Amino acid sequence: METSAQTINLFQMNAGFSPVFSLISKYLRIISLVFVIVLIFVGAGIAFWFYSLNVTRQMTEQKKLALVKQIESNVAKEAMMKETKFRLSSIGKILSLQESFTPFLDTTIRIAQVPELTSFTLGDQNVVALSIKTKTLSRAIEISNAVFTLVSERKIFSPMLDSLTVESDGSVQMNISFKVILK
Amino acid sequence: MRTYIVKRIWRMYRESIIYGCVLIVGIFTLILGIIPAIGNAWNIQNEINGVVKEMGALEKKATTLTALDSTAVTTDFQTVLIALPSTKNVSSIMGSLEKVADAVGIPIVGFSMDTLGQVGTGSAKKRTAEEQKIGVQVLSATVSVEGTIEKIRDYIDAIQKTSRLMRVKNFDLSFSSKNNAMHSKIVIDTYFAEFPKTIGSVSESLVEFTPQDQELLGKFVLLKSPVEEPSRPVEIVAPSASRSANSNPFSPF
Repeated sequence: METSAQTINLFQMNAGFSPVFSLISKYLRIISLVFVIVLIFVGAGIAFWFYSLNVTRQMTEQKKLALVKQIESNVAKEAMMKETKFRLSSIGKILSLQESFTPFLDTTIRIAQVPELTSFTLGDQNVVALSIKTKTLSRAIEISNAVFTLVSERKIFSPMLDSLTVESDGSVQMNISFKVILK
Repeated sequence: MRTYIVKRIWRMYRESIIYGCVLIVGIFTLILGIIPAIGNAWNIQNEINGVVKEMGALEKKATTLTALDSTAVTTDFQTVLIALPSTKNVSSIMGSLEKVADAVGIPIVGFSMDTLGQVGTGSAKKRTAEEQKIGVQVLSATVSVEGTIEKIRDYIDAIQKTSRLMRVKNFDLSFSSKNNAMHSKIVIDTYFAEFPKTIGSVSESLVEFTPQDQELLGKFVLLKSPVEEPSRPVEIVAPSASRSANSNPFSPF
């Protein structure tokens, strides 16, 4: 018996498909139909997604605008709060720079007072320089003792007798410097 | 001949050609339409998520601002404004020093201010390192007083506790034989900070006061103003005030 592979039917309109092409042709129809249906559904889904997104976006924008308007109506409060905060921060920094000069003056008062104390200068690194003029040498010695007492009490340190002059009238001019211990 | 071949191919593969074309068109639709549409929708979704997130912060800000007592906010603001004014306000410096001197019982014998420049503001002045550090502008003044050393000590101490913020930078003492009293020259730093032109974006979160801020504020509220403050309108800025540089949200001050 002759097979189709061995004979050619000249009256057949369509030539026979190869087995691979037949398989592709068979599935192409199904695949393309399924693909188109899926595409339609996905497209519709996306369209609905777009619509809902636009609605949500519009609503959100409207809500946002209302909130912005509400905030804008309180702009004075916000500005005042912001400035209060900024100024408080600067005030804190300034307060940390403030220092008490009481220890410098308190120690000075214990060493000499007006009119013996003729000048007081506060230099760098908390160095206090005093000019003192006493009527007698014994008073100058008392002042020196007051300085030593303050050193022993740990109120001052590094005391220096910068100069001491005994005038012809018996008065004493002395310059003392020391550093104050700040607690 | 060519027509015959085309016709023959069409007859043979018509179904496959149609479904093949449908598939190709579908693939193109997927690549050129569906995938970019998904991308766009995703972007819009992210955009909405961002706006919703931002709205959460805005809602919190709006609720907090609305609930805030405007009188309390204004009082706090005025308190810090007395301590740190927006202009040099020389009269308040002089007034504070005089009032403190009266309270201590020591006479002021001299007063000077350097680099005063424009009386109102410190515009066009290059900031020093100290000014940059503390974020405000410094105005130095020198005040001379005469009295006992104890009174001078009390005066120096009291200067740093006035409601107008001042810092004693340096001082010296010398004996004035004429009056038989100590003469002191006190160098004082006073401060001021101009208002900003704008208050920033609406989406910026609202400032929060720390317990330290509250404590500091309370400290200044307790300080009595040494100078009678000029009466200022304590009205809230009209809602039309925007965040642009053209309108000043601090206009009543």
